[in-house]
Amino acid sequence: MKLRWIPLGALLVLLVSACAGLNSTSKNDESSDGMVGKELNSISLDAHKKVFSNGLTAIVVENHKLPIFTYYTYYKVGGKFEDEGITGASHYLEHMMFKGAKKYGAGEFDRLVEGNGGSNNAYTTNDLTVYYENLPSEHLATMIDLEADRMQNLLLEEKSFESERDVVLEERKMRYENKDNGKIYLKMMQEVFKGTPYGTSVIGKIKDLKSVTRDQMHDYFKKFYAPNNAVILIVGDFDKDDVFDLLEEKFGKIPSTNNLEKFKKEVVAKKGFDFKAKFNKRINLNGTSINPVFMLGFKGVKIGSVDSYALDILASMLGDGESSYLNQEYVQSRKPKLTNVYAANYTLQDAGVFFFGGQLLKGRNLKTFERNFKKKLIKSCDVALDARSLQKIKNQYLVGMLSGLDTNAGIAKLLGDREIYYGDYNFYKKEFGIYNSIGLEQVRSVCKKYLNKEDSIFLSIWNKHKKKGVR
Amino acid sequence: MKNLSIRAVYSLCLGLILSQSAAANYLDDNLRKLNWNGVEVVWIEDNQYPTYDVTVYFYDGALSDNSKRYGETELMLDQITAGTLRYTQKQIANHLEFFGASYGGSVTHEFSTYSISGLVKDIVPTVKKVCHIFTNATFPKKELAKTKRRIVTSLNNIVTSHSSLANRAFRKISLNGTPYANPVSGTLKSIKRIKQKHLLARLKHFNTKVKKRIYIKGPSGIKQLENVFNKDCNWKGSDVVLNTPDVPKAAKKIVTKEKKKTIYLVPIPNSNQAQIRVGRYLSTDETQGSYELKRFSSKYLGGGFTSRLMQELRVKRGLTYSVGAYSSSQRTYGRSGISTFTKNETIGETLQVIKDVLDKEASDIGKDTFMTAKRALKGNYLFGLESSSAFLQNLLFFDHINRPYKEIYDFPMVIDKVKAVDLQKTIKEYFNWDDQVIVILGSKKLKLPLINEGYIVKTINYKKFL
Repeated sequence: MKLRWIPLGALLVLLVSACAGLNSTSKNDESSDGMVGKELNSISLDAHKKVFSNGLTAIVVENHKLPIFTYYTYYKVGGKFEDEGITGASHYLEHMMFKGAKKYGAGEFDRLVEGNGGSNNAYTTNDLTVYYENLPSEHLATMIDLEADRMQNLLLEEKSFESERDVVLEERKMRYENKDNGKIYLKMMQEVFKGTPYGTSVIGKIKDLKSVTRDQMHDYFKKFYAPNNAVILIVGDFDKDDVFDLLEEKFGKIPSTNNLEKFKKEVVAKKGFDFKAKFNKRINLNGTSINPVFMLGFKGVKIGSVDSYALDILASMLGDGESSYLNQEYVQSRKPKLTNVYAANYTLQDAGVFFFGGQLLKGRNLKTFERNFKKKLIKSCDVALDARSLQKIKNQYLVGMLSGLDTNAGIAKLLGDREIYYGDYNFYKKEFGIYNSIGLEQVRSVCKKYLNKEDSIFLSIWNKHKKKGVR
Repeated sequence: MKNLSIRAVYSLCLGLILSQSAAANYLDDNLRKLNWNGVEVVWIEDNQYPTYDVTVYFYDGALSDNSKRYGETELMLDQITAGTLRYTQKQIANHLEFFGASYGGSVTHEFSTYSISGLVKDIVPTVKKVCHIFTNATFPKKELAKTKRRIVTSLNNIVTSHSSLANRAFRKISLNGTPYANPVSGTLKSIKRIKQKHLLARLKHFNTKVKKRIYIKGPSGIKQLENVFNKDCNWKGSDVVLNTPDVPKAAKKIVTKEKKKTIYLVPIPNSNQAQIRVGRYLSTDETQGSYELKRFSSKYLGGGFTSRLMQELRVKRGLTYSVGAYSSSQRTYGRSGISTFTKNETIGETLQVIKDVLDKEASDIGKDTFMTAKRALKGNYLFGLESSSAFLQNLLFFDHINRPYKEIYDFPMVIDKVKAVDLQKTIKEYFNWDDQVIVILGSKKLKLPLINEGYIVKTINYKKFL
């Protein structure tokens, strides 16, 4: 089924940038047209948080619908902490975390999770490395033991370290080198954040992936995989007190890393997050696309900043759904220019990028399109944004959020993202209020402030562009 | 040790009983069957949140597309929002999106669905609008022309998505000679032939002739929908069933008689990774076999990190990032296969490992992996019940393949009784190396190493699959 109103932009808003939320106070709920208050009040998540003496944070939510649970572990380490020479280390380490620890050796993690009817996976971003598992409730104690074991005693065996290096290189090829959409996205992120800790890709440079040693990886693990750098979320069928007791038993004695926050600040301070790239430029990439694919990146803001909420709404108003301004102008218009178009406000922990993307229709001229698109964007701040579109987006955020709550994993992610980004798992209660309070003038204001031609980089990938190679 | 064993057995039995009773209780407590104007309605009552999902099932799909206009059913459901006499495309989109509703069609060869979801308080105006478009869609010529242009551009650009193109080529080659070989979305040629009148005829057929069933997840407020479906959609019960074409017992092999195994190589520019597809067509007779065993074989061979292929290809050798195996059926046909990719330099080794695993498992099932896969399937089953929306889709599919819901909650028990020899036979039947069609998509430079590995290589231009 096509989720017509959730293309990339809103997905980023709802999933990556962790922006949809709700407010249970009726005043804020009804500030627009009173459409959302009753629905918001239907949400009641009985979450409990505990911070252990070694700095580990755990949040648990009982949900007795079925005898199952979801377990999330957020490690506050991602691509931004990687020095030159070890780019891709966070993600490579994510792979290695499934390769055995002291108590549960090679292959045991997957055997115990999958063999008990569970599933598991992980992902790495510029800011975080996140692991998640779903299992029948009777195996919760085993899961806690497995996670505690690998947090403190990862093996990093030579043989599996080498075979996993090839696996990561294949993943890189699959996601970026053999896919034009991946290639152009990687390049945009590298260019917009050039010279900052976000300028090194999460997947890493090929030469670094080929050269990083087991010792370097072990050091990296020791620095960042510690209880005071982790947040655990467990949602499911159990007794919360039993779970806190088990966590205390298994994690309570794991030592924290001294001066970790100071060290992390020093690592990222070497470059700093202020934009250093040269903007107002064009980048052509050689690819296999028969028709050009484009991205247009602007300087953005970090998550939780005052303007970030209005920029989320702006992205959705411009590019979400068939009725959005850009869709109507460029895809559905009488003389369409694109096969598809999207807008996204990608807010990271310390900076952000606001971007557009799409694919040109056969026969459309790239340069003419670029000129026209930039010109229309400026005008869009006045002509594209109206009260009805604003309310539409607020309604869509509400539905998107409610839809995510029918699984333990959805609840765990909702709370976990907010704990990580706002230091308050309950922030979802305030968040929708913030969105709901945003008025049209505020959206127009950020539109004019950030969609500035001088602060943008236009990228395109096409088989007619000359080959220059992509790092 | 003895105590441990007893505990393990107890835990296993308890898990099974819990799983089965959870499903049975869930169905007993929450499932309602209704009849609206002769149309069967399956409703899962879910009061947790004020949201709903509605899926209309049509017992017809791409199989009955005109042979020169493949893709017309999918295009019809896509273009149904392109305009009516009363509303433009923009007005329709604006109306539905304002409520935060998601909506859209999905087409398989055998059946089609149209799904809508959103907030319960908006369910009536939303479904009314959907009924309006189903009964009044005009498929304006200008909108259709624009959409066709978009589809053609996107299809030409599929060369940038190696996995999608490999899937497309594999379907065409491995199902050659069967009515399932054409993609439901159509081809460059077939899309160009589809006109407004074809879509209008197709919609009329769907509205008046095709058997429908409505699946709903939501709280009791959804009862308001009966009036809307009866009056605004005006759908009635129908006994007309899909006009199934003659289904061959086997797919036609493009090239035969050579003793060596044939590989179909689809070269694409600028590729440093080879997409590998191995599999075969399952005839109607074969679809009648145990679906539980088919799922078991998929899980055992290529479902998760403990599966045989993942262990041999990724964990032990680092040859790939992912590998998956599947064996599944719709009502009249099915497919089994393996999907993976590897670097150009290791294409021969990867194929050899796949062959060795299939050969070995067809004669000697690994006991540990067998037990792991069995426990995995039984335990994982509970997660299929977690989301009511996902469970609803499961019920829809069971209705389509004409199997009782009882099989859903009997699943863990059936899996528990599977013996290693049953799995071995299933793998031998569906994954016999000699019967598999192999398609490789990647650099043209792969041809020589594949020949050196002893394969016959037939090269096919990727444009033939657009």
